[in-house]
Amino acid sequence: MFKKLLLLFAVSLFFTSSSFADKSDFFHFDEIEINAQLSQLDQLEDYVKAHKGVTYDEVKLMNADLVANVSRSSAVMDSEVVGGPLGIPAFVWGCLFGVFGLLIVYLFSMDDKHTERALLGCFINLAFIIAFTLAATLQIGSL
Amino acid sequence: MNKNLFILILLFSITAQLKSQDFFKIKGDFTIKSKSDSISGLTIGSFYYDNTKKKIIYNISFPFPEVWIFSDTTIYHFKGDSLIKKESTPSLNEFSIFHLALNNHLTNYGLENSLYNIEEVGKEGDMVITTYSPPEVMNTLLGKVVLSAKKKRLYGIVFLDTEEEILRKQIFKEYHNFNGLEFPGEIIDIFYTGDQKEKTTYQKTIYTNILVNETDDNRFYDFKLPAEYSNLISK
Repeated sequence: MFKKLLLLFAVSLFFTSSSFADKSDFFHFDEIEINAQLSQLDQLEDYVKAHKGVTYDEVKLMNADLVANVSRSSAVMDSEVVGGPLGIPAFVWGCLFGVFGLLIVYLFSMDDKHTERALLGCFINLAFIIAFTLAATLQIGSL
Repeated sequence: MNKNLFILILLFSITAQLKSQDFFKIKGDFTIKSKSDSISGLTIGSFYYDNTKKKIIYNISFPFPEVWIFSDTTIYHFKGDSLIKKESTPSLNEFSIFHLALNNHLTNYGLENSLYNIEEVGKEGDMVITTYSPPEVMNTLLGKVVLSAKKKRLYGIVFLDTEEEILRKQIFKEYHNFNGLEFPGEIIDIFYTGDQKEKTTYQKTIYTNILVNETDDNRFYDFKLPAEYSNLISK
């Protein structure tokens, strides 16, 4: 009996370790690739820091190559991606604002069909809960 | 008498130590580089945050001088002396990286005070990995969030969709200690978009010249809105 329990424990431990090995993979990233992708901006960054107060338009006038394929918008808020504003995690939208905040994050990141289905599912669930709670309350009230 | 004096000194020392851990202001410089498809972006400026005022001020110098103020539920954009845009937002500031860091909640990204529940916690190598799941009523819409910590510092956070595909990941690196406050010097963001998550956007934010509890220059921490700002725009 004891041996069986020990074996069961060992097997459980093995599978637990395996699943967490998978989760650590989530945090892998190719830093070399990322730096290579962003390296185009290094020269522009150096130029801007060496010329304090210079604007995008001024750089374009003086050295157009530096801003080739570089957006005129700041990254703070004007982003197409679900990054959230600078320094404010995207998750923030949901943390404080509850359901609606989370909806904002995921709506931006999912395609329309997916969003529609997900939203529908969410609202159906909510409707069931409300209906059930109401029914239970009425039932209790009638006792 | 000596014993009472000793106790008094000890209590004073403990109190002084506790007070020194009270962080209420942070400022610094930032540089953000981003790349999505063939378009890149560069934003340079300074940030200011006061825990008591709960306003985040971004004094941007590039690509154009602008001041962005995140105040409660409104974001104000100023260019020069003019308010050029005002937009509503959920009240975000208490969940900004600045607020979380000042209040020692950065390690869990503020998730412990959110709708999400801890699903499991485990250790893998030097990482402690915590998986958070959404409330059941929202699990058709929202995916899990997986958070990792190394040496009690937030290392990474990954947002998953309902099919457990990665939507976004953030990695926090180059931590520095500023009089007891730990703050990352670098944050890497990777976003996966498109139907098959085939499109990748990279963003790297570098924070430098961090100052904590600065008392000298208070102008930007409590940026006055909207009329009194004329002498406070980018230098």
